[in-house]
Amino acid sequence: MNFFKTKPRTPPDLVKGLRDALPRLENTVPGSEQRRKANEDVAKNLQQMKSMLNGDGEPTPELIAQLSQEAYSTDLMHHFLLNLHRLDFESRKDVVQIFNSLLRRQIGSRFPTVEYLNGKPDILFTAFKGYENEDIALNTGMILKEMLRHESLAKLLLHSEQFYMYPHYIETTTFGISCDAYNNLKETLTRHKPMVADYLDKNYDRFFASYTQLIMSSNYVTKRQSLKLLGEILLDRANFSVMTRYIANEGNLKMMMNLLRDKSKNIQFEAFHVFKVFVANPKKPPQIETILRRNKEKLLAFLQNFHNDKEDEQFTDEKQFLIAQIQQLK
Amino acid sequence: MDSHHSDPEEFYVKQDRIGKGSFGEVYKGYDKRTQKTVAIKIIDLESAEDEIEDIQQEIQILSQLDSLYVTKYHGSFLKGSHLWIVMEYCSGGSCSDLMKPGVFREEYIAIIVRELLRGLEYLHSEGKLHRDIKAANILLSANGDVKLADFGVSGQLSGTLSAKKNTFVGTPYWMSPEVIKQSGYDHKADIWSLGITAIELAKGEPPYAELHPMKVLFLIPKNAPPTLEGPFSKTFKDFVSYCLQRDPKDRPTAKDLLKHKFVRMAKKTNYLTELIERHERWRAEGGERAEEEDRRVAEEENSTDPEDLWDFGTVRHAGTVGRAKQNPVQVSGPPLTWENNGSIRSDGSSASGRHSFNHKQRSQASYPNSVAAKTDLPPLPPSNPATPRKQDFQGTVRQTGNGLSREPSDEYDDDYEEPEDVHDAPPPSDDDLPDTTMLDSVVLPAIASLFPRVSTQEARVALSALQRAFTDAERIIPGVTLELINEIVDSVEHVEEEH
Repeated sequence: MNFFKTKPRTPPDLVKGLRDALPRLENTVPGSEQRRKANEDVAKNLQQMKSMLNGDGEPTPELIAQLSQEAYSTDLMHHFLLNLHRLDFESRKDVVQIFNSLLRRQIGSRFPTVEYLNGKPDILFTAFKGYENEDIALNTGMILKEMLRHESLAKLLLHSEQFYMYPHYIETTTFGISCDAYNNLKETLTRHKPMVADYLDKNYDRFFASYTQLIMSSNYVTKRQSLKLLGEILLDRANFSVMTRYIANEGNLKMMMNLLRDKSKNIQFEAFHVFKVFVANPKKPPQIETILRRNKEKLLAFLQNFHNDKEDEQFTDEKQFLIAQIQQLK
Repeated sequence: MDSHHSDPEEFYVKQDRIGKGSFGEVYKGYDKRTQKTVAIKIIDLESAEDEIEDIQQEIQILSQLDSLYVTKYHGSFLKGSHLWIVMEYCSGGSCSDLMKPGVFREEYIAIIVRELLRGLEYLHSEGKLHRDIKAANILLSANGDVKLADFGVSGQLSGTLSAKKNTFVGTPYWMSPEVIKQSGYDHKADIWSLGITAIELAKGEPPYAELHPMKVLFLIPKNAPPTLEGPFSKTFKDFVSYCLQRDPKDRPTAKDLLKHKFVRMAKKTNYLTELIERHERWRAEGGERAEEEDRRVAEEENSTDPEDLWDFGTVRHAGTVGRAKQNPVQVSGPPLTWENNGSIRSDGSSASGRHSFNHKQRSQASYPNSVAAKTDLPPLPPSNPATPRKQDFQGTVRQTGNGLSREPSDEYDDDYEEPEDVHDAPPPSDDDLPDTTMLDSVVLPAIASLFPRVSTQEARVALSALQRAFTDAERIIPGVTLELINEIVDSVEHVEEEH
C-alpha cells in the first residue's frame, strides 16, 4: 500500500487522526457512507503508524518514542481494543502488529509499554475479553499472547478473578478460538515458572477445582490438551510442592485411573503421564497406596497390555518401572 | 453462543467425497444458512499425526488471510474427535485434474501464472510463504478465477503455509535448491516452485518426474536449473528461466514478475473456463472412466508408489484405523515410532517427548528423579538428555526474537507474528539448523514406512533401533545422514553410468 506513503505525518498527527476516527466508528451505522469513511481513515492512519513502528523509510528512535508517548497519553491501545470489532479485516491485523510492536519496545532492560500496561489493567482484561467475540478473538488472542510474555502482565491475569474465565472461553468457543484460549492458558501457567508455582501453591484448591472441569470436559480436544498440560505442570520442577499435594489426593488418582481407560488412545496416553507420578512417588501417602494395592492385580494386567504397540523406548521403560513398583506393593 | 457444543452438521451439509489427503478426507457440502457450496476437510484428530497445536497454528494462519487469490477459510468445528475445516469450494477443480485431458496451451498458462503471482504477492506481503506451489494446489472457480489452495482440497495440512514445518512432506519435484539444502530460504522459494509449476502446466509433469523422489533431492541442488524446452515462445522460456535461478537473490519477486511480458500480455481469467469445459467434455467422452481405472490401479499399487515413502499420514492412518473401538485398552496395530521418539522431530512436539520426565524444558536441572532413581521423589528410569540439535534450534529462535529472549515453546509463532522477517531477514525458524533434513525427512520416514510391512514385535523393535541409531549418529555427527545418502546415491549413479 505504497500510495499512502506520500506525505510523512508526525506521530501526534497519526495518533490524533486515530483518536478522531475511532469514535466515528462508534457513532455511525455499519454500512453507511460515514462508517466507510471512518474505516478508511482508521486504515490509513494504522498503516502509517505500522510502517513508522517497523522503521520503514528512515527508522528514527525519536519518532517511535514520540509515537509511543502519544499512544500512552491518549489511551490509544485501549481504544484499539474497544473498537477492534468495528474495524475491517486488514485493519484488525494492523492493530495486532502495532500493539505487539509497542509491547516489544525496549529501552535498555525496560519495556515502556509493559510498564504503561501495568498501570492500566483494563487494557489486558479487554484483550482477554476478546474471546467473547468470535470475529476478533484470534486477533486479541495474539495480543494477549504477546502480553503474557511479560511476567508482570501474566501475573496480573493469573491473580485476577477474570483468570477463571479461561475454562469458559475454552469450552464455549469454536475449535480455532478454543485452541487459542488454551494456548494462552498454557502460556499463563508455564512461562513464568516461579511466579506461577507460588500462585498455584497459594490458590491450590480453587485452581484445581477449576482445572478439573477442563479435564472432565466432554470436548475431546479440551480433555486431551488439558490433561497434557496437567502432566507438564506437575512434572515441572518449579511446581514440586504442588505436585506433592496433587499426588496425595485420592480423587485425583481415581480420575487418572478412569482416564487410563478412556475410549481415546491419546487421552489414555496423556493420563498415563500423570498416573505415573502417583505410582513413582517413593513416599506414597496411605490413601494412595491403599487404592493402588487394592487394584494391584487389575493394574498389573492392565499395564501389561497398555499401548504395547508403542515403539517408544522411554515409555516402555516407564511402564516397566510402574509395573515393578506396583508389584512391590504388599 | 455455545457454538462449541454445536455440531457442524447444524450449519453444514456434507455431500460427496471429492478427495482424500493423507490427513483425512475432503467433501463437497453446503452451508445451510446461505446455501453456498463449501469444501469440508475432515481430520480425525485421534489418528492425525500432527499435534493439535500444529493444526491449530495452521488454522490461525489461514484465518488471517483474505484474498481473491487464496481459497477462503470459513471456520473449523469439532465433532467428537473429528475436526471439520470449512473452506471455499472451487468447482473448476485443480489444475492437475484439468490437465488430465492434456497439457495447457501457453496462453492459458500465462493467465494462471499471472493470477498465481498475484496470490504470491499477497502472501509474501503478509509475510507468509506457501511452500507447496504445484498444479495440484491451484484451483479454479467456476468462472475461471485462480486460487491458491492453502491446504486441504488437494494437499495435506502439513507442508503448506506452515509457520514451521517439515517441508519434505510431499514430493520434492517443486522444491528449490535452497529448500532442499535447508540453507535458509524465503519467499523466493515460492518463485522457484512457480517456475517448476509453469513447466508442469506446459509439459504435464515437473522436471525429473520420472525419477525417484529421493534421487531428485540430490539432483535439484546439484544440477543446473531446469529450463523450459520445446515449442514455446521465447517470452515464456525467458519467464521460466527468471524463476529458476539457482541463487534466490537473482530470482525476481512476485511483484517484479508481474511486469514480465509473459504475464502482461495474458488474457482475462474467464478464458480459463475453456479448460473447465474441455475437462467436462473429456469426462463426458469417457475420460473419467479411464481415470477411475488409473486410480484403481494406482490404489492397488499403493505400496509401491514412490510417493508413499514421504506420506506420514497415510501410513499412520493405516495403522490406526479401527482402533479405539470397543476395546480401548487392548489395541494392536503398527507402531508409530517415528512420532514417539522425542528426538527425531525438530519441533520437539512429539507426544511422548513432551511428557516424559526428561522433557526438554526440565532436562537440565530438572526434577530430582530424572537424574537418578536414588533421590527422594518419584524415581524413574533415567533417560537421555535433550539433544544438542534442539539446543541449537532454540538458539536460533532467540536470535531472531526481536531482542526478547524466547522460550523454546515460541518456536512456531514467529512467521505470522512478524511478517517483516520474511522479506529482509531469513525466516526465523528452520534456517540455521544443522542439516538434519535428510534424517528427519527421508531416512526416518523411510524406515517408518517399513513398520506396516513387518509383522513381528521383534522386527519392529529392530526397525526402531535402526531409527535410533540414525538419530544418535546424526546428533553426534551433524549432517552425517546427508553425507551417507550422498555416498549411496553417487554410487548408484556410477553403476548406471557404467551400463
